Amino acid sequence: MSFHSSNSGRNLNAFAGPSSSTSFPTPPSTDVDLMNTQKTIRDIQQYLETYEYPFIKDISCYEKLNKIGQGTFGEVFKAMCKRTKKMVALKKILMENEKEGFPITALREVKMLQQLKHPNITDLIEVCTSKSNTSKDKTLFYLVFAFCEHDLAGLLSNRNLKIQPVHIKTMMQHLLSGLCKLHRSKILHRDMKSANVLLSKEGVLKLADFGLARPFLQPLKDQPAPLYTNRVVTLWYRPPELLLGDRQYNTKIDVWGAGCIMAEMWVRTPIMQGESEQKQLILISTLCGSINKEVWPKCETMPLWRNMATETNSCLPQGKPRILKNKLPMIKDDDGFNLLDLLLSIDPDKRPTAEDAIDNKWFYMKPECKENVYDLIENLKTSQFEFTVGRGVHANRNRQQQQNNRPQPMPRPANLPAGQLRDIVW
Amino acid sequence: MSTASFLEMKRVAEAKVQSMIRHNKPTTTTAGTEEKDGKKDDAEDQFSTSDKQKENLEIKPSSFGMRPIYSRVDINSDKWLMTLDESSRKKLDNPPSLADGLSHEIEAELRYLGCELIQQGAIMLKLPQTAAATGQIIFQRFYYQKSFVKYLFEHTVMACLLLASKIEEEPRRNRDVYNVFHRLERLHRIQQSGARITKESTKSIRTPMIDDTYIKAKNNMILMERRILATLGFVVHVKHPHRLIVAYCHALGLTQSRVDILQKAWNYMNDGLRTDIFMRYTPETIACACIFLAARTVEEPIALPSTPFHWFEAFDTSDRDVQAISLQLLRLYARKRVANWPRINAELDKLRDAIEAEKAAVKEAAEAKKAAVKAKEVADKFGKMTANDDRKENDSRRSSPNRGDRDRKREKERDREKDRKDKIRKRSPGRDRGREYDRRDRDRNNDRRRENNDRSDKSRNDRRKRSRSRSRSRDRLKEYSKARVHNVRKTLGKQRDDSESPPKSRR
Repeated sequence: MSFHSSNSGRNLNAFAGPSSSTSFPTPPSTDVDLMNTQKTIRDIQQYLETYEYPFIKDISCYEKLNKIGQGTFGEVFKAMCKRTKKMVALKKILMENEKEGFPITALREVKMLQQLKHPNITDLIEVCTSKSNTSKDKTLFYLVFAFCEHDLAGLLSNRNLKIQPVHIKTMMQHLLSGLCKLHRSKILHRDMKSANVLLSKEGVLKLADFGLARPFLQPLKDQPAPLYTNRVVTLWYRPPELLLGDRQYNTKIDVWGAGCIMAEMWVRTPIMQGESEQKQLILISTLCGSINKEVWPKCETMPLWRNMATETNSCLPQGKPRILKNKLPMIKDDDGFNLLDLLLSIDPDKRPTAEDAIDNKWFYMKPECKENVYDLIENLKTSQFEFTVGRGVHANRNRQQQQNNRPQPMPRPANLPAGQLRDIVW
Repeated sequence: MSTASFLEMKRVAEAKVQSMIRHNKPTTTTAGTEEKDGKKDDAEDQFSTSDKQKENLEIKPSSFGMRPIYSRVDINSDKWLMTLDESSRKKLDNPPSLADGLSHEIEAELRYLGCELIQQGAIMLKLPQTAAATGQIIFQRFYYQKSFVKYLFEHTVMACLLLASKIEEEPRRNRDVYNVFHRLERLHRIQQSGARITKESTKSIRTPMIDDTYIKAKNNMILMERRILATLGFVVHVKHPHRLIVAYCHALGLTQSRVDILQKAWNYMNDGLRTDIFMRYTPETIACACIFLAARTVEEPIALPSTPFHWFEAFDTSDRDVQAISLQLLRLYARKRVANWPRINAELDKLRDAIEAEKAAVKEAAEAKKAAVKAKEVADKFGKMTANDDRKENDSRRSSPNRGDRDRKREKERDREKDRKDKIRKRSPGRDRGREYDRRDRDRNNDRRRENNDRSDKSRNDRRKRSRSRSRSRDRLKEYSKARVHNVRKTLGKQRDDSESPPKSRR
């Protein structure tokens, strides 16, 4: 391309010799201090405040409609693009409490979503800015996503909705293929839960909320494995290795989450709703069998194993059988149950990778997977979101005004021991 | 490369992609029903859909789409090659700083200095080299969008370090970044004064206190970080040619026998970060150029294959690009002196003052114009009130040959006033104003310093004294506000003068 050579040629002259360096008077040393101290010129600042960035659009091209989500990450709004009349979801990046500048989690989220273009992963359209009213030089950033009509948690809580096994199979296939793409791109999702699984209007399932996601590193042979934080994943979907404080986890933590979601599709409610890490471990033991050396050889190397095992009322009860089959009689399909059984393996090494799981026999048996689950949601009039429906882990957060409309929580089975007040399997 | 050969390249690329798509299609359509779902999904994963490829064909190198995407993070650097569209190319020729009166030489110097600071800062922060490279490339990108005059490059350097550390997953605290930058600045000053950097000469450098300057610098850093992100539209991810160099060397069979060439090429690339080649060429091209240069400049140079075609053409690189990059890299080594930071800053400050003065002048002119309009209105009203029955005459006053003496006089006066203002503007009164501003600023700073000294010298714990100093500052504030009121009155007076009659002193 001809412009290459001409451009560089001209620019090169700039690097050429020290010809005109002598023409500048060297400033007195007292002034150097002054020059280096910050110099604010009001007009320049004003210029900066009013300048429009050409690479980033202002939020004013979207019209906010209503709030559809709320959490630690910030707020999510439904909005409409004024130009194309398309629906989008706006996710506000909270920056009030950030002392270290732009939050690295948000940076990761943008970075990863820019790379991840896949039918089963939410589509990041762009990043927008808005000028905040309260403080003058604090711009807010919004992530603009393609709007999805429902989330799985909201959908499952709708009792009128009849979900066929073929729907579950199709949705699982979408879920696993999204997860597969994620893991191939060397990214851990770290917040798999039904509320983070969206369904678009066309009935295509999409993974969302990469607020906790991060790229992982392939450990080198002669170097210690990298350590990650173990305070990730919503408690109800947290795998046993995380509950035992593992910091060298891998993609299998997301597979456990996928298993929980799969079971949830039949049960219609999160299967293990512990209220603390200890209780969650007990629930896992009661459902999936005791955690010990036989099912998981490496379990005693976990950092918190000793603490958990020696506590007075142990969180790791022994001698419990695996009652998954009895608890899930609604799964008529043996192949389907086998897959679920694999996904919910206690030992992360025995859990299949997402790539293996998607090749499971179940997906090739009858009834065959469909393209999408449009027929499932076609008759739904309103969007089903966990936030608007009002259930889930964060149900009680900032929702005082809607308390009364909330459906009653699940009735508690009567035969539970006194220690497990709100801990229910389902 | 001429446009003809570019078109040729494009055609070849198209053919390649077409053949790939054709090759790919049958596997998805003829796969058995049982395997269909799995296979199809794989295909989707490995290759982006054909529609997308057609869309991207315009801007992607010919190798695009040939490479399966599985198991690697694909970072889009093409978006930031500035040679792709017309407006960016113009910017590359004419960086935005030049519009503010910065000379080409100083601009290049600033780029060099900024990159050097980022590189050294990254080493002091113990960041990986990839983070240093990312920081430098972001710095370069940013200043092809924004002017050095309007955005203080010190803040940008700090923000780039902070941002790069986050992007490369090795986050550093902003306190650390500030400390490092502070030290770098002091080191630079020692170097500038002619002293060598030894243990003795750097002994006086201490970690900066947590004080006003620190908080200001921190806030500026965070602000600038956000501005960088907004300016670059969040495209801050960089594809580094490091691994490409290794791969290409391996392809040339150099990894085992000639590690020195690999090392040298690697060094060239890291030094090349100080130039803007990353805005102009793809990482692949840069990697080729670095190996090309290394093979020639290493102690025992070797000839890399050149028949039937140059080896780098196998990697989609033209000899013209390679030569241009090599030249630019070699020029980098021709420079002998360190960038003169204070001098650059002096230059920048001069420009900033000039801009401010210009703006002030424009503002003044606008105000004067407003005042004149107002005066005219008042005058018209006055005229109406006195000569209410002459209204018709008033309207056509300008054209009528026999207008009143008084009117003519007033108009003359107005003209004279205008002339005077024009003259002043030509003399650029703003410069004086800027200097005045400077002085005021300096005085204020000196005040503050004196106060700080007082506080530290005398008993620090004495509450009464502190309160006195606080009251002193309150006094200072009062004085300042008085001065401001005075200034405002002065300007108001000026306006009145402008509108009605020439100032008394002139009479």
